[in-house]
Amino acid sequence: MKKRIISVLLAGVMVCSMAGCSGSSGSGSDSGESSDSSESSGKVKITFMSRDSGDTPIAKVYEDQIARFMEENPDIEVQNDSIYEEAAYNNKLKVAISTGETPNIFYYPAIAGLKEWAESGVLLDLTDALEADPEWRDSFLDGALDTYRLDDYGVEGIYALPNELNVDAIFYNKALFEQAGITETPETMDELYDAIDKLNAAGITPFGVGGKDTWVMGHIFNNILAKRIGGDGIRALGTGEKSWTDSDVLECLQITKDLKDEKNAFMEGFEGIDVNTQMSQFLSGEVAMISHSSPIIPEMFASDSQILDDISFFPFPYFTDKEEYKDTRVVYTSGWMLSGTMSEEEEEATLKLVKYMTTPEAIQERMDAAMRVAPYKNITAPEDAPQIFKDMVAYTDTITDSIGEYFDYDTCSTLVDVSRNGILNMMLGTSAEDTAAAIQADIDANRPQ
Amino acid sequence: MEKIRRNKKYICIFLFPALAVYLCFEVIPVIMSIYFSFHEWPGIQSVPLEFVGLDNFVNLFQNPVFLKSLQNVLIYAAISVVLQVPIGFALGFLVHKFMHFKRFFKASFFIPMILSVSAVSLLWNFIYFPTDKGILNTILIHLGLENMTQQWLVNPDTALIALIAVSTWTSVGYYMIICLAGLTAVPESIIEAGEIDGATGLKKIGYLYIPMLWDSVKMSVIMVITGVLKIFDTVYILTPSGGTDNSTIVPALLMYNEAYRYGHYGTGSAIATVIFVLSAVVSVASLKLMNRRESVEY
Repeated sequence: MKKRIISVLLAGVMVCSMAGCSGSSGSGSDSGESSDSSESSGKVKITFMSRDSGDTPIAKVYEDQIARFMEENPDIEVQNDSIYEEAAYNNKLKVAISTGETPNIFYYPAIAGLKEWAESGVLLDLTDALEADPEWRDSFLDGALDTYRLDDYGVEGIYALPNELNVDAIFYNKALFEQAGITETPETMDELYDAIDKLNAAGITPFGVGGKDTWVMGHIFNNILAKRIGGDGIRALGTGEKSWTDSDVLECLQITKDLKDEKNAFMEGFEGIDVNTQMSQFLSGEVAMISHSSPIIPEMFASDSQILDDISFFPFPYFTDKEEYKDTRVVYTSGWMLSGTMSEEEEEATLKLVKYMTTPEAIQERMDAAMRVAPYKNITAPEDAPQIFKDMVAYTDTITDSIGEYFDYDTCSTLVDVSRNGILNMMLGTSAEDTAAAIQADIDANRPQ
Repeated sequence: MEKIRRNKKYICIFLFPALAVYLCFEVIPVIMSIYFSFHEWPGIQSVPLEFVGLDNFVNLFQNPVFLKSLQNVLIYAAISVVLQVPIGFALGFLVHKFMHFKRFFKASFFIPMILSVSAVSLLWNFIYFPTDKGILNTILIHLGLENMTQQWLVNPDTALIALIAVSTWTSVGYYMIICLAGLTAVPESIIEAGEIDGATGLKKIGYLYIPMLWDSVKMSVIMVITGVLKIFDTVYILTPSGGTDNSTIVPALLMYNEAYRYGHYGTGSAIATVIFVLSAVVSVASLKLMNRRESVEY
């Protein structure tokens, strides 16, 4: 009871102090009244919480699908508690978990970070449910379910269902490439360096980077890491078998730093620019490339940019001396977690909803409406989709060796901030050695034993 | 009416709603926060609290990031007191003297105070934009001071002062209003008497107005200090990661990260406790310092 009071009150204080900075948050059909009425009407009530809310096409599809599900299942009431704004979402979710009110279905961006929740029963082990319904289990792309298998972290079971794939790539402006005399997209890092030189010589900024949002440089570093130490190396870094001060990891930090210091790949002052400015620079033809992932495609097509036909993408180049990692691709998976504290009838209703939302028709509907790449078989890009999205779906099908973000595989909760801030500080002058040492020191202090 | 005022039952009934709100949202959270600061808890209901004694505090004061945040917030508070109160009161004296457009200037200086922090931060983001497209950098370039252009929020030497400028711009209107409210209560006869005795210009402000407004000055200083020691929003929006080399990290931002991002509720509560104690100590110390100068009764 004490924990519940303090969590709610702490959240109240934080919400008050943040009231001014989360104006864009929106919620779905959050209704406390319906909760009371559902209990009195004998319906099973379940809550659904995602980051898709407000007026976005994907949020609309979710609302429609939930409404249809409730029509078909009059004994189940689904409350959509989705919140778009990241900080507000995370706050609400963590307060819910700390008070024992875990949403029945929710999203959280972690893999190894789920260990503690899995161990303490906050999350439902989905292994039995998937084994009991082989048709449903086999509808996921091969290996996709293993993303959330936590056996490597000492907890047996699958603790989330992959829902979307964010496939990393370098998006580029074909017209600017032509202007700089680049005839083919770079496949190797040496070719990328050549392209950067040619763009600089033509007076074109090679990369747009919103460094103020530290994840942008973090993603570039993660791709370099994937191409030099591979998926197994990244996992070993997460489990502690490898250290950030190892020479190969250090080398990746140095290569990232050299992109600025030696190759002049970014515009001056990029460290203080946010990701929205980065996007507007790219969409107005001011910069030739950005490193981003597939969800940027619907964002680009929602803008009034005049150069959309000139935009395409190519996979992050590989290092010729590390050809064994040529096909390692960075793919961020976002998944749905189910509450581990549900009653039997809630669990039954929740599984019913999640299966409904993962039927081929439901997934195809979301892809058609919002151009999201999904980790399911037999899903195709809609006929009227832009070519770049069709290309992205086709490219995703070719990926056989994927890896997520390095911190996804580490149980150290502070790593994401410490490493990304460290990488930005490194771009501003700190040496790669000092950066690696600082990150490793933080891991040593904060990684749970 | 007089009978109601003397009846303690009525007094209690009317005081209860405010007292209940105060207890629920101020006193109890502070007490619970102190209680939690002696425990570790990962934010999961089924996991019991683990008593760790003073470990959270010991770890905090050995953490260079926390020490840096304390240093930053004390610098922030000191500079804010020096800037916000004098500028606010100077504007108050100035506007008080205006014969025309008094309301216009009052409203103009007060407007930043009523804007949301996110709107203000967005505005200043354009001003501090790091390239030659930033408003401040553009002005410097046009003034021929190109070598002074900066990445204002990125450079560790300028980031904190850039944030202090935002807070100052936002808050001075508030202290101007406090000054104006105080000035309306100053009897004109005393000012006239002072003028006859030779008090003009700055002397009039220093020897007549300031002593008579001393209570307002004290209140303003305490408000600046307590406001700054718990500052979060401006820092979070303009430098979400706490700045290059933690140049803008403040305890409240660290508390938010520890409790809500990293799930270290005990550490977060310990930081909250330190902020509370620090606010109390600095406020009392400032008040004692300022109480050496007696306010003038009139």
